[in-house]
Amino acid sequence: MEATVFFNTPQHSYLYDATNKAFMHAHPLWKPFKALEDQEVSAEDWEERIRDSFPLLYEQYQVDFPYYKKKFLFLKEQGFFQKLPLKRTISELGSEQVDRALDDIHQMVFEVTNRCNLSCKYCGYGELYSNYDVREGVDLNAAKGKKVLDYFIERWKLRPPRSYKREMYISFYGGEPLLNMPFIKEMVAYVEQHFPKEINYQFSMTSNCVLLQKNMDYLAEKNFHLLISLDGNEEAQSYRVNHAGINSFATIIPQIKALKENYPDYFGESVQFNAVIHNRNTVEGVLDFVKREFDKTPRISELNDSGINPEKVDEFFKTFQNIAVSLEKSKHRERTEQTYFIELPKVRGLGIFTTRFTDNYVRTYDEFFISTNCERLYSPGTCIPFSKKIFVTSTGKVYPCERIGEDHPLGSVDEVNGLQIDRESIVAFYNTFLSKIITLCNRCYRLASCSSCMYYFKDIEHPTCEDFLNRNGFEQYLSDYMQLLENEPHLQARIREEITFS
Amino acid sequence: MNTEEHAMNYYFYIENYSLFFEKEERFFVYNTYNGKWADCPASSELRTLFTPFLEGINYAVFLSDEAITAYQLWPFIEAVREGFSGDLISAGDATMAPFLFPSLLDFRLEKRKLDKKERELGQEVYSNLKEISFFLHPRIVPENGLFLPEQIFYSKEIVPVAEGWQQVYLPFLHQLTINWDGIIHIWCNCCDEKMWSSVCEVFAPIPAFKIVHTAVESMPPSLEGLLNKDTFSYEVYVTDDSEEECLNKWLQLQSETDIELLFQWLISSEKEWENASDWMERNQIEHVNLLPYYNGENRFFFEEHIYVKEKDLLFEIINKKDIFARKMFNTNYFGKLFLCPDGQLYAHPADDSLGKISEVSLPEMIHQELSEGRTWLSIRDQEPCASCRYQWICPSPSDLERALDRPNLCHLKK
Repeated sequence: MEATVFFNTPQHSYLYDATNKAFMHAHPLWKPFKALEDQEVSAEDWEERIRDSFPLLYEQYQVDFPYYKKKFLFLKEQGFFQKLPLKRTISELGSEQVDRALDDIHQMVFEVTNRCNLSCKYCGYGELYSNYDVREGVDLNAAKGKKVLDYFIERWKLRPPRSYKREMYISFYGGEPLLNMPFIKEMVAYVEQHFPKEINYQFSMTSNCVLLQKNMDYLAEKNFHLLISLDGNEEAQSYRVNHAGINSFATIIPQIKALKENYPDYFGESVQFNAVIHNRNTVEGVLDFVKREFDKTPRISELNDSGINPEKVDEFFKTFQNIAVSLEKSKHRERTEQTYFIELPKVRGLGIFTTRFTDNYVRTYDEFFISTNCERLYSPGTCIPFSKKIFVTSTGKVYPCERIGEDHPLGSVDEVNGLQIDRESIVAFYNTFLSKIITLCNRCYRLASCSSCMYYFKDIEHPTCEDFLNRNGFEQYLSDYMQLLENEPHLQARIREEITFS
Repeated sequence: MNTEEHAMNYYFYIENYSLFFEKEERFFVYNTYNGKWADCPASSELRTLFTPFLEGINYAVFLSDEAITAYQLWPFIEAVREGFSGDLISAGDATMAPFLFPSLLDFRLEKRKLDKKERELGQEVYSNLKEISFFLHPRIVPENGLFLPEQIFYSKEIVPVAEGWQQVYLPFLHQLTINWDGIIHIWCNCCDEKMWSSVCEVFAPIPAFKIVHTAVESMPPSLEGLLNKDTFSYEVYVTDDSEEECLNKWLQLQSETDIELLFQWLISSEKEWENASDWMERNQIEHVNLLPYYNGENRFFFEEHIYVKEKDLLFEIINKKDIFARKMFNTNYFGKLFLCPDGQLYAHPADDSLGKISEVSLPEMIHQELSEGRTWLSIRDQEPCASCRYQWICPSPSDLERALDRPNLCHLKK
C-alpha cells in the first residue's frame, strides 16, 4: 500500500497519509511535488520542472509556489509523503491467543434445538441456503451442555480471568429455543449453582414467541434478555409462517402484548426486537410499527448473503432488500434516519472509516503508549476464534459464531469426553488460510478496516477476496466518505459523541 | 454562482494536527508538529463564525473577505498559515466547505461514553497495569534515616515489612504474574542480609523485569547475592551527603558484574546540582538522573530552577497523542501501583488505599482506580490550570506538586 493517496470529491482535493493516519486538504501543487520527490529530483529543481511540465498549473500558482513547497517539505519532515510503501505486518494466529479468548469468553451460545415451530421462507436453515447440515429435529441434551459449562468452570480455576466485572451471556438459540425448555431450565440452574461469583452472567434468547405465553413467567423471573424476531405488521411478517404456511403474526402479537402488560418493567429493560428487511417490508414501516405497538426501536438486519443455494439465487435476490435502499424509499426519511441513527449503514460505515483511518480514535489506554507512525500490526478480518463467543450446535459441534456455515467446526462436545477444542488444528487452519491470502492482504488498501471472515470464503484453498481494494478503489472509498462528510459534517461529531465502537 | 462572485470568499481551515480552542477570552491554534501558536480575541461574532471548530463539527469554515476585514482576522490567519497550522483557500465554485477532521479525541473508554458499560472498562484489566512497586522497607538507609520515597509518602506511617512477608506476597505475585508482564520495583534495604536473601528467593523466579531501588550506602552483602542482570537492574539513590567511597563501590561492582545501574541523585539546591555535575564530569559517568528533591525548606530552589516559565511552554512541542493522553489520564501515575508492607495497595501512597491484597482481588482494585480513582485519572482540569492556554501542554500533575502543596509548578498561574 502506498503511504500517500491523493483523491478528489466533486468539490475539493484531499490527500490521505497512512503513515500519520491524516487527511488533509491537498494543494494542486502537492501531487507533482510528490512525483518529483519520488523521482528523487532535488527540491531546488522543482519549480523549473513544474514550469516546464505543467505550465498552466505553474502559472496559476506561481505566487503560492514557495509557500506550498515549504509546507510540503515541512510535512515531509513529519513523515508525510513517504516513498516506500507503508510497512505493515499481518499477524499469524498463535495458540496462546485462542487460549486467551477461551479464558475471557464473552458469550456461550447453545443451539438448544434445531427444531422450529415456524418455517420462515428466508431462514438460514431453509431452502435458500445450502451450507448447513440437514436439520433432523435434534435437541441438545443437558449433559452435553453441562460439559461445556464444566470446561470453562475448570479453566477459570486454573487461569483467573484477566477481566473484571465482565458480563457473560449464556444464550439460547434455535431452531426455536422455547421448544426445549427443560434444557434451558437445567442449564440456568447449573450456571446459578456453579459459576464463580466474579462472572456477571446474563441469560439471553432469540425467539419467535410462538410459545411465549406459557414461558413468560420464567423468562421474566430469570431476567432473560429476550430478542424477539418480528418483521413488522402482518404483511411484513408474512415470510414468517408456520409449517402449514400460515402467517405467525396473529399468533405472536397477543403474546408479546401480554408480556408487556404483565411484566412492564422487564419488557422495558430486557426485551428487544429484531426485524429482517426483505421485499415485503421497509425500514420505515418496521420502525413505525414496533414503536407504535411496543414503544421500542428494533434492530434491523439484512438476509445473510453467504452460502446461498445456487438453485435459489434468483429467489434470494427477489426476497433480499438492502437497508440503505429501503431507507431511501422512506416517506419521512429524515425522521427515520434520526430514529435509526446508530444502525444507519452510512453511520456504521462512517464509524469504521473514522475509527480505522484517523488518529483521533483510541480504543484502549494501551494505545496511548504506542506511536502512531510505527510499523503497524494488522489482523485479517477473521476474529480470533472464540474471542466473541462459542457456539455449540444441537448435534454437539462447536463453532466460533452461529453465522458460520457448518463446514468448519472447531471442536465438539459429547457426554464422555466433554468439550474438545483442538487449538493446534484451529491455529494451523487459520494460518494456512492466511498464508494463501497474505499476498493479497498486503496489497489491499482496506486492510486496516478488513472484516472479511475466512469462514465465509467460497474457495478456501484458492481464496479470492470480494472486499479487496486496490488503489483506485481506495480513492473512491475515501472520496465517497469525504463527500458524505462535506454534505453532513455533523455526522462525525455525533458518532464521536454517541457511539462506542468495539 | 460564478467564480467572480466567489472571488472574495474563502474557506479557512485548521489542520488535523493542530488544536483549536478557547481560553482566557481568546481563540488559540496550537500546532502539534512544530509548537507554533496563533491567537485572536474571542468575540461573540467570531464565536458564531467558528462554531464548527468549537463544536468539533468541521475544522473548515466559510469566511468572506468582508468578515475577515471586519473582525480583523488577517493577522490571525496569517499566523496560522505561517505556522503551517491551517490555510485560507479560495472558495471558487465550491458550494460547501471541505471537510477537515477536528483534532478531537474519540476514546472508547472515556467515562461519559461508557455509561453503564462497565464491562468495557473491566476488559483485559491487567493491560492497564504497567508497574508495581513493592515497599519492603520504607527507610532504605539504616543509619542516617534517609527516607527514600518520602516525597511520595509524606506523613504516612509505614512500618517495615514484618517477618514472614513472603507468605503474604507470594500468592499475590502468583496471581499477578499469570496474566501480566510489566515492571516490578522492589524498594528494599539491600545490606540487610536477611531481607536481601528473601528478596532473591521471592523475586528471582518471577519472569517480569525487576528494578531494585536502594540507597547508595545499602549495598548487597555479597556479589553472589546480586540478582541476574538480564532480569534485574538497580537504581541507587544518592544525596549530597553520600560518601564518595560508597559510590565508587557501586561503580566497581558494576564493572565487575556488568549490572544495569542508574544513580538517582536527589538534588535540593543549586549547590548540590553543581556537586553532582562535578562528580559526573570527574568520573565520566553518564548514567545519573538528577532528581529535584523537596526537603521542606528549599522552595526557592524550585521557584528558581524547576517551575515552568512561559518562554519554556511557548516553544514546547507536544504531539497530539500526548495531548490526548494528558486530557484523559495522569501520564506520571497511570498504570502504577504501590504495595506497602501492611498489604495495602495504593495507586499513590499518599492517597487512600485501594484495598488489602489479601481481601480484594487485583483486577477489582485496578478497575476501581480506572473507574473512580483520583490518582490515575488526576488531570489538569481544576483551576488555575483549567483556564490556562497551556492546560494540556503542561505535563500531568506530579509528586513535586503534592510535596510543595501547589496545583502546578509554574509561574503563570498560582
